[in-house]
Amino acid sequence: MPLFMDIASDSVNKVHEELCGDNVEVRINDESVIVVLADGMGSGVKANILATLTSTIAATMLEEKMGIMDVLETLEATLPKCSVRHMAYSTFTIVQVFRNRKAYILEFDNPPLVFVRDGEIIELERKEIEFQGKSVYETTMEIEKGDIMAFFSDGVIHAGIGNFLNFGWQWEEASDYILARSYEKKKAKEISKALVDTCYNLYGEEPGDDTTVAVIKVEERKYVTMFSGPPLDQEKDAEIKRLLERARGKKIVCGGTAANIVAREFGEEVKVDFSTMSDRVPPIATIKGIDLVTEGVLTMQETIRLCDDYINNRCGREVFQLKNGASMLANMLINEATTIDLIMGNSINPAHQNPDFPDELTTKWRVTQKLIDMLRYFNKEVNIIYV
Amino acid sequence: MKTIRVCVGSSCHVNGSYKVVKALNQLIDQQELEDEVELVGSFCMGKCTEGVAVECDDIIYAVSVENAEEIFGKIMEGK
Repeated sequence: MPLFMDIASDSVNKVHEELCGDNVEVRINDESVIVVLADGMGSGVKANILATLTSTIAATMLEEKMGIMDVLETLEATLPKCSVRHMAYSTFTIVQVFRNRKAYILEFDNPPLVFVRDGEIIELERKEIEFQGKSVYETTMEIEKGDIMAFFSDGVIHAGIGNFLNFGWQWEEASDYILARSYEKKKAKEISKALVDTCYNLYGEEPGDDTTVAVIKVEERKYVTMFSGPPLDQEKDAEIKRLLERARGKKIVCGGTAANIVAREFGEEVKVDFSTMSDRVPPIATIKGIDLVTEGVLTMQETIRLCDDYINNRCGREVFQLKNGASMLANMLINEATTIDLIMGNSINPAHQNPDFPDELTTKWRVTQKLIDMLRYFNKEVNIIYV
Repeated sequence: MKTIRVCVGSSCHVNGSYKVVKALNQLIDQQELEDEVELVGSFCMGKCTEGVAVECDDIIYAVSVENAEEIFGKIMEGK
């Protein structure tokens, strides 16, 4: 079974800049996962354009199976020349991991990629390629479960220069920091957030350079199957039972009516747990054989809000540990699953939308869509099954 | 032993099932009826438009915080 790539990236902009001069492009398809981190020269708009062009061109060309030399030539020919320094310039790191566990890493002038395996930082067998007088380093290797690849723009290793640390913290310190985080069994998102936050603090909250971190953590796949929204056609209720019976991993039922259907089809009872009730979120319930049963729209909406707070740093991990349906749902989807199979009732299938539809159903559709977007933001694999 | 089921589905939650549950619990406490009444939750009962749906002995009442006491009285009289 192919391994799952838990991918996350975070950045902070140089002080007073509205745009980030670094860019991370992630492409996930059936064949491989591609992550490109580019750091454009300078800062602000110009750097942002350089970085965006570089990362997008590289990711797109690799996705279309072009050779790396072609990619480099295209970049060289496409990037606008910087008017100050008279050169087209953007540093980058490319990581492509194929389904057969082969990884291809290409580094150009960014700080070296930190590769953590079995609790140690391992030295990559880098091969130098010459390209128009510049050195590009290429590594081909096989990945294993638990591997962590962290790569970042030079803003990370310059953090603290002239502020708290005379010469910034060096690559060694930054990589040790990542290594230490890996012992804490953190998710990719937590590692990238922790590193960027630390840099931000070292800069005294006034970053002297755009600072971006991308983290890929190799994990085994963990499945969750979520049933949300009843089918339009009641005769299909039996199909829900069939789907849930052969569902992968943990099972979630999200929605009051959905819960009633499942309970009826399985001949079980819905027991509401009042202790998880709060003003914001309706209580969860239990059905034998289902791992989590929650109400639908309100709970999902709150789950989205919690995750949004987490992403935007308004709060930490505690959002996943509250005693309510939304938090439990967030925890299961974000921390305990890599792949989510979402069974959606026809009754919210957009193909069936018509103006006579009751409002609440379109609300549900909208909220579900937002939840899917959010899961994809966390680079989760989401499969939708319409019934 | 009576079982009172309070709907906690989306729509009833918005209409205040949290407060109704609190109010009913308080009434049960005050009148020391813990051994006679059991309060349980239920997902959608299909009566979404008429306030918080509360069911007892196959009758569904539309309850709000304001009329909780009155309806609770009605339910208990019918025992």
